Amino acid sequence: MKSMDPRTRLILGLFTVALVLCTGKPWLLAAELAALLLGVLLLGMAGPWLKSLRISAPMVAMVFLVGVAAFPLSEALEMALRFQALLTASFLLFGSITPDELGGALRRMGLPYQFSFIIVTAMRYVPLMGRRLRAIMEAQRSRGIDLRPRPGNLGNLTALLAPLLIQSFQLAEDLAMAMEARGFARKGRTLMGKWRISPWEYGLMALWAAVLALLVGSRVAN
Amino acid sequence: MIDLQHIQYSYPGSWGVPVLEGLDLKVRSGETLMVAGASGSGKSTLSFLLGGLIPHILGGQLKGKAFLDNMDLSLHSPSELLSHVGLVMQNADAQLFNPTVQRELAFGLESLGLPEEEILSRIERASQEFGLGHLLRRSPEDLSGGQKRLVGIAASACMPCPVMVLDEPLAHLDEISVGKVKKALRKLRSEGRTLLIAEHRVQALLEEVDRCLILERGRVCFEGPARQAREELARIGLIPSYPPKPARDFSRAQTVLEVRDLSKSLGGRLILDNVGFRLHEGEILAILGPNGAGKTTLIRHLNGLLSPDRGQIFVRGEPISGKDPSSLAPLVGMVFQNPNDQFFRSLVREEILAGPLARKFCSPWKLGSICETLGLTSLLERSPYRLSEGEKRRVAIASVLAMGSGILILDEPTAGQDGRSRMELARLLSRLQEEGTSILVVTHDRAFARAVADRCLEMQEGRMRPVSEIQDGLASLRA
Repeated sequence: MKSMDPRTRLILGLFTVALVLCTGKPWLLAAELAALLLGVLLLGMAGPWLKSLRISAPMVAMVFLVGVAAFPLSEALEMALRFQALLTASFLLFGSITPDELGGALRRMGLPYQFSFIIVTAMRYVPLMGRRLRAIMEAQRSRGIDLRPRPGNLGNLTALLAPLLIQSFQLAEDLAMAMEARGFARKGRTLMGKWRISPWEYGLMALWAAVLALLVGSRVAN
Repeated sequence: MIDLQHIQYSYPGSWGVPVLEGLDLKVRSGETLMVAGASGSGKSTLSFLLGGLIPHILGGQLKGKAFLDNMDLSLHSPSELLSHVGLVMQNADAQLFNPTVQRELAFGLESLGLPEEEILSRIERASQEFGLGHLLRRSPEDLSGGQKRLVGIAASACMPCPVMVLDEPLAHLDEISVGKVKKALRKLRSEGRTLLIAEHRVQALLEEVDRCLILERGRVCFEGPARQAREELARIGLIPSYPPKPARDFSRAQTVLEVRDLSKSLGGRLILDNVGFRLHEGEILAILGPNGAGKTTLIRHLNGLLSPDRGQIFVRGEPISGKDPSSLAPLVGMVFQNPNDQFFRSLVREEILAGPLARKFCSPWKLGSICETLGLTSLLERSPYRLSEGEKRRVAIASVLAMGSGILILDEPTAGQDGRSRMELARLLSRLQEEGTSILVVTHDRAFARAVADRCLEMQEGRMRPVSEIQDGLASLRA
């Protein structure tokens, strides 16, 4: 998988997400989920995927319970399966492509540099903002402000959000200055790195596109 | 190479109040100039001006003439100045915005539109010169503070620019990282680059520069060779001079905080290994050690933010395991490195009272006494965001003391503080000690530790040094 051109990985990932979205039958969704899990196993990503269940499983369970309350059981099952399959497809996509490769792929696929840069930079700063949030939370709890998830503590959330917002604005301002100082706005930028999509990668993408077209066609026909 | 004539600058929305005033400066090609000054003296503003951000990006009113490498800075945007000047900003998290170190080094070169072969060869050379070869595939997010600073400098050094402007390259670094950055600066000097370094850790850089410029409220108050600058820097308090601390023995005093055999692993790595110590009533204890030694992880256990894998913590004889940090705040006050992490009110008074009000207790008498001790009485109706770094630090301490805790823990209190603020902080801690507060200071600033502490411990790779070595350590610090 890693030997593939990042553009191929991105396109296959997006096709897979589209496949999951277009699938209408629970048994087919279950088969897709099984195939995705096989992919997770083959790519050696089983450990991180199991860890991700700590967050995704409660969300899938919630979708299922809401579905059961509002729709027949088969539809609730379909919703939960689709959600889990979408999460697994996204996990595979982002687990097999680095932010750097994603940015390069988007640029080579014709997306203006500024847009691809925004996407990649957003990914770069998510962990940093997470760390800042934790630091703010620790500072506030250390001075006596209770931030445990309890109804009575809702008002205390401003102690968390206000510093985070102010620091985010400050970071955005500093980031804009750093980017300008390093020629972000300059025209005639070089695109470093030679990438090549091999014939068999084109074949794989064509196969995925054909399966997707068949699925969409069959749904339109029904 | 740099020629500034009668520069006056004010930021937009500042009602014309100048940050730089009547500034004249000439820097020769190949010269290294240090710009010193207290917080708010205009050092960063001068860096932004030379980097082309003023007036093109930041706006504001610029008067006077500014030339760099024969380019008029008022006529050329940062993009046009890219091959003339490299700006390394203070905020490393903003400076390094690419997903990998390699892309970070490549970014400016790509902006210049250089051919790929040249980009790769420049990255190769810079990564060898700055020892970054093993980091090229890593995300800047995963690097230490010192590594981030080196990557920022290397990314600028890759560029074919004759001038480099560095804004506080030593900020928040421990002694080991400071040594690495100084080595990088020597390398740049040997290449014949013109360097302008804005820094408040002046002592560490004096021997590395040719000339020193001292700014005071936007005006030049000293300009001369580095060897003559030391006296002036000491005179105006930018090189802190602490009064000697009389030796006192607290071993017979009551123990207010005790850590027994504490061990902790994070992410599969042993961070704390069987750590133990005691803090006595009225004592100031300093824990020294380089970044990454486990100091911050240790103190995060002392008010319940982290639970130990093994060992116990006692506050005034009571174990604290299982207690929430907010409920421990009246017993143990913790002030973290960045005061901005806790400001969320519009006035200093409200900020200081936020904790007591959240816990439903408040004593106006206590507030008055704390503010008087910390010199905050005149700042109570001001916004905490608009204070100097030293004042912010004092507000953060006051907001923790307002909870009534008799134990105060400070994490790297001198980080980002100029010499004057460090001296003020040392005086402040002595005052708090006289009033009976027991204080634990975690720092890599050895001079500050020597000035304030009654006793020092040292952490290395998650371990506390044995007692005999600790006493030796204190003796050597005092010598």
